[in-house]
Amino acid sequence: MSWVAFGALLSHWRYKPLQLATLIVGVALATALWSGVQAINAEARASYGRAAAVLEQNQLEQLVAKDGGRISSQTYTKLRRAGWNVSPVIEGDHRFGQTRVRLIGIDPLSMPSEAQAVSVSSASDLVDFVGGPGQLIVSAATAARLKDTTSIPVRIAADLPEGAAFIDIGVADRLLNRNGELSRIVVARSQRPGLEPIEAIAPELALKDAGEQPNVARLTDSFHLNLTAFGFLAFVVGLFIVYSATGLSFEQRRGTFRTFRSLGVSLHALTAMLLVETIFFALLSGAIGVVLGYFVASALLPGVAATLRGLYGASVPGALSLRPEWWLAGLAIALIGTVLSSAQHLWRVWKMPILAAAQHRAWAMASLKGLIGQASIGAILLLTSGLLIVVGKGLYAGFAVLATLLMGTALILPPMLAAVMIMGQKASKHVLIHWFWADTRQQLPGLSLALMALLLALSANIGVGTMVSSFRQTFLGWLDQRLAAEVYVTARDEFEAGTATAMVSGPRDGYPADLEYRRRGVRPADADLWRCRRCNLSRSLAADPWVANDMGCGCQRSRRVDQRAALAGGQSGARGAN
Amino acid sequence: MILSLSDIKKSYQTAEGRTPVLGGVSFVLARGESLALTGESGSGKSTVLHLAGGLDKPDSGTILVNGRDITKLDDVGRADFRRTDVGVIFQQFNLIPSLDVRANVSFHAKLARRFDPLWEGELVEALGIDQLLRRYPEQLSGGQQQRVAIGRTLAARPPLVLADEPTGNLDERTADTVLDIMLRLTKSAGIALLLVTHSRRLADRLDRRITLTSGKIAA
Ligand SMILES: Nc1ncnc2c1ncn2[C@@H]1O[C@H](COP(=O)(O)OP(=O)(O)O)[C@@H](O)[C@H]1O
Ligand SMILES: [Mg+2]
Repeated sequence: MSWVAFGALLSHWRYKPLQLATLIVGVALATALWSGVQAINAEARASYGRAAAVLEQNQLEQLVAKDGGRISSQTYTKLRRAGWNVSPVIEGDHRFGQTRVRLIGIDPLSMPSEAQAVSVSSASDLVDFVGGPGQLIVSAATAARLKDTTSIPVRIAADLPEGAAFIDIGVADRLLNRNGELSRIVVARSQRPGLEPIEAIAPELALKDAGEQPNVARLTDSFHLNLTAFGFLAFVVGLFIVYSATGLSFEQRRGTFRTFRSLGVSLHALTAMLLVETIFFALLSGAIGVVLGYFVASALLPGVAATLRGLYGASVPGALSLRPEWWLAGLAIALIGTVLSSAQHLWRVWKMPILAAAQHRAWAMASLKGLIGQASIGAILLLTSGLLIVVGKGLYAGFAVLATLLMGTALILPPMLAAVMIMGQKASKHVLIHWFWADTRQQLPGLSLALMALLLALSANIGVGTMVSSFRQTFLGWLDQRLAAEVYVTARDEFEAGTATAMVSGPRDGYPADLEYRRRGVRPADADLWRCRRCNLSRSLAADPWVANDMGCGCQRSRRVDQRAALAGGQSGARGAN
Repeated sequence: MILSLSDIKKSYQTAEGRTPVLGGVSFVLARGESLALTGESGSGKSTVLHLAGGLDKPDSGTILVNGRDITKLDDVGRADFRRTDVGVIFQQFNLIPSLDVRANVSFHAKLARRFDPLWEGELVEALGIDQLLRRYPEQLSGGQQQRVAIGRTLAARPPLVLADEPTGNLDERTADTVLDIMLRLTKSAGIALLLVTHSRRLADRLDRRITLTSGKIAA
């Protein structure tokens, strides 16, 4: 490789700065969108993992009730007596004023040290934590929200997810009204040998493996997959820009390449220089893209985090952290993309004869052959797509159908246009019309790529638009059904849930008091009677069932829209006991 | 002997099948000598030049440059040969559009590691392009581009220069001047010159003249 030749090769970009800008912007944008989306996904997943490790101690095995309910404290005592090194946890949501916090009640003495997210190891810490009114250990942000809402002292610890508080198990029990019933039991890693198996002691418990994917991660998987797919689509459209830009630069330098060769630059040296050039641009614009992607991701993350919180109750921090693997992945994808979109041009340079005269016919032939080949590949892709529609199942198959459909259509477009133009040319009698078809046909090779990119971009746009709007409609409909109600009713048991449902949907004889009395086998004279669960007073109510919420005894339920309550409410619209 | 072609045959693949262009061409060129190659348009003059310049391979026959058979070289060997042993002045100039005149002129010399600023300065002045050094090829007229192309080849001082109608785009007077300069410079540097032209008048000013007809050198 010669520096003189390399310098001359690169001088093209100084001579055509706009082309250089197109190339760099193309790669940079493609990389930015792709790596921005990846960054958001990575950040969200990492935070699920972190939250699971901190809140659910999921690096250890856990015992949960097989029926999904609570664990009695007797079961726990039995396990301890049998010699098992286990630690109880009571958790649940509690409201401090307007602030809902997930309480994680732990027993600092028995909790295995590897699962202790917060340190309460020193004696004075311990006294503060378990003694007196107890202590809430929360993140700084949660502490700010908790200000003036509780008399329990608050301590701030780093690395805690937002909206969660560690608290002594006794205090949690009291705040959550659990009467000693446990949510789960953490099993320490080191156990004495020869213990009686847990199944024998407590058959009602199931063992959850350590390191199991957190629930939120599974819930949000398809959301992240969608993001990835859009990021990829954007990347592919960006690659079309890159392909055009490199194609143009190679086409314009065809003469220069020939001159190089005729002045004694070997084909190997020329190809090597072009490869170095391609890689250099890929890395440069990839780096720009990753930086851009960082800003894209930081701009989008708060929105995505809000969506994730709203939809799945998943807590994702609004700030992005820089990860080296993310940088490397961004550069790698830029490199792969650029090399892929330059490969064909490089191949043509490799096959190009030194003398220009030999070129033309070969070029035309290759063009026709290329069109036929392109049409065949397109047809195969469309067939695959059709086949996948019939036999495929699941989200990935859906993506594959879309990908093959889009690529197939894009590939078939130029050959189809060419065929139409040949037909038009043959059918036209007038010279001018004949010329029109012939000329348009000649433009086709240069334009076909842009046409394909346009087709892809348009369908991606329509697709994303439709998808987003249908997603939004579904979501809004869902919100209308579950969240936008005037009144939220929380039921404590199945019976209450039934009466509540009957109350809102049923005719007058479905009124709760009626049901209540019917259950007792009594038929009341007055069907409009309603009994307040809290103060146990019965009252006669007006005909409007909504008024039933206001018992006139001051036990009115909160009217605040509460997504979590509604989310946990399941299909019945009323929340079962938990 | 700097160049010797013996019994060179060459045909091209066309739509009508193989069309023979050269049917056994033989001639020699001595060191420092200047030789005119004339012939009708389409007689194969450019083909001969391309073969002698190592840009293409003959179907049969041998081409010796400096005693070395260049038809036996591989791709890399031929590239080396083109870089150091020969200079081709093309009919279409083949300048590099993204380099200015100065960089274009010194390009081949630098590739061949024979760059000499003094010699280049002399050349540029003699060719009358010293005022154009900062311009780009597309800002030059055909005649100016041709002179830059000549300058590029002579600056590299190869022992053999092959010129394909280098004065084809020039008016008669300028053509004469340019040929004068080429002859003077090649003579002073001891460079052998094979010059393709269809102008008898120009051909007569070179040391010797051969003519290509029906794929052969006419006596
Ligand atoms: N690459 C090629 N493919 C097919 N035919 C060619 C090619 N190059 C030259 N020819 C043909 O060979 C003949 C000689 O061409 P050329 O050497 O350029 O003639 P001249 O330079 O004497 O005008 C012409 O008939 C031309 O059409
Ligand atoms: Mg010619």
